Amino acid sequence: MRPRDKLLVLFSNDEEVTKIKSFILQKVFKLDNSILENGYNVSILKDLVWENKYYSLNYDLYVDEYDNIETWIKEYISKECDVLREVLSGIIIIDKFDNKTDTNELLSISKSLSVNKGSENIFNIFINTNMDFEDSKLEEINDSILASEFDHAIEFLKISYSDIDENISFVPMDNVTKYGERVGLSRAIDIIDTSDWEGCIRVMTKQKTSIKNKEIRQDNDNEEHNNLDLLLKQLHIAREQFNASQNKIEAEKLANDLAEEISKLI
Amino acid sequence: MANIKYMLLISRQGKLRLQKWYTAIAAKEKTKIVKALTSIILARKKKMCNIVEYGDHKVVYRRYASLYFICGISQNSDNELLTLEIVHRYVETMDTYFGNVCELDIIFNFEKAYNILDEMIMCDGSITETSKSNVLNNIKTMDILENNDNLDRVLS
Repeated sequence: MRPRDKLLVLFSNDEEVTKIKSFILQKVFKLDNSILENGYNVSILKDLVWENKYYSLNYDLYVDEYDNIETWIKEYISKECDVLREVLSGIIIIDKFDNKTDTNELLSISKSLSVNKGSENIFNIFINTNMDFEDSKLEEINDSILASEFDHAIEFLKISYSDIDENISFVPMDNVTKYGERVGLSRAIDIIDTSDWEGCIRVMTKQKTSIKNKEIRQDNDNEEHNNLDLLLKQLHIAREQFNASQNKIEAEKLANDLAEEISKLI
Repeated sequence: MANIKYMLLISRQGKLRLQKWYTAIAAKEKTKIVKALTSIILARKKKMCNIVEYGDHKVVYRRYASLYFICGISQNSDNELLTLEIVHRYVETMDTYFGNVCELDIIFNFEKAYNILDEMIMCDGSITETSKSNVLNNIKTMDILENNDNLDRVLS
């Protein structure tokens, strides 16, 4: 089985969506400007690192655009895309959905996308860039999706932003619902964090770090390496002292102190 | 009194994150209950009642962020509101332990989540400890013992 280590982000070519494409890629995937400097022509980004406070893993990001979703789906379910479908962990669709959008529309897109065996492990996130989309409608759609007994995770999110001008300024996105659930792009990050990443190798980390690109990750690796060196040195010294100590109580105290120090380092 | 039959923790994506059974139920039946409750609870709208009748017992659930805490209790003898309070106390305790607990904390520290639950609810499903600080102190002691054990292993 191939590891599902690829994420597909699909943007509608609507003018408003295109304007915030880099913003979304930066915010969710923490891509830096040097990666995005090619503007909107980014399509495949290899060896990115998805990182949170518990694990990090390497993944590839596929970015695509569509004019008509049905035509795009036809291409996606064709034989040429068989391999791609087998390695996708999730699909994120970003479009300007209007208030007429209903659950069936989103479910039918998700259904069309899941033609492979094992597609129940792929999550689908729909991100609406339409600020005027009613929150009650959003809730209603999500409730209906949950009630639909669809076999894989689908969520409909909405991002909020103030006036779009040359310097797009967004309202803080860490808003939470009254249930303490994060909304918007933060929720999208949560979904990716908790997704299965089937067959992928997760490197466990206890450091509270956010998602960073590969260069920053390497810096972290060096820092972790230094910490590990220090830890091993301390253990070595402690072992010698422990063996040399005649007094059992003193030895135990030494072990406790060291345990405390190590827990600080970790 | 509250004698919980089982406690399940299901994510909004329908994934089972924790399960604790306090009565003897066959594995096949457990799978059936989890599957049925996942679809029943997730399908319920936010403003609907938190108590549902299921089979021969009642189910009390509460949603916190993207997680649903679901408890099965006896039809007549158990108190639904007390069960909701137990769930809330459990979440509060985890919140203090992890510092704003999230789904990821439970996925990667599931043993801690079970330990906290074990400190609060006995194996027969009755509540054994209501004090958050007592539970946290016990967990802290367990953490220290665990760290010392690990250190002993390294030193030996």
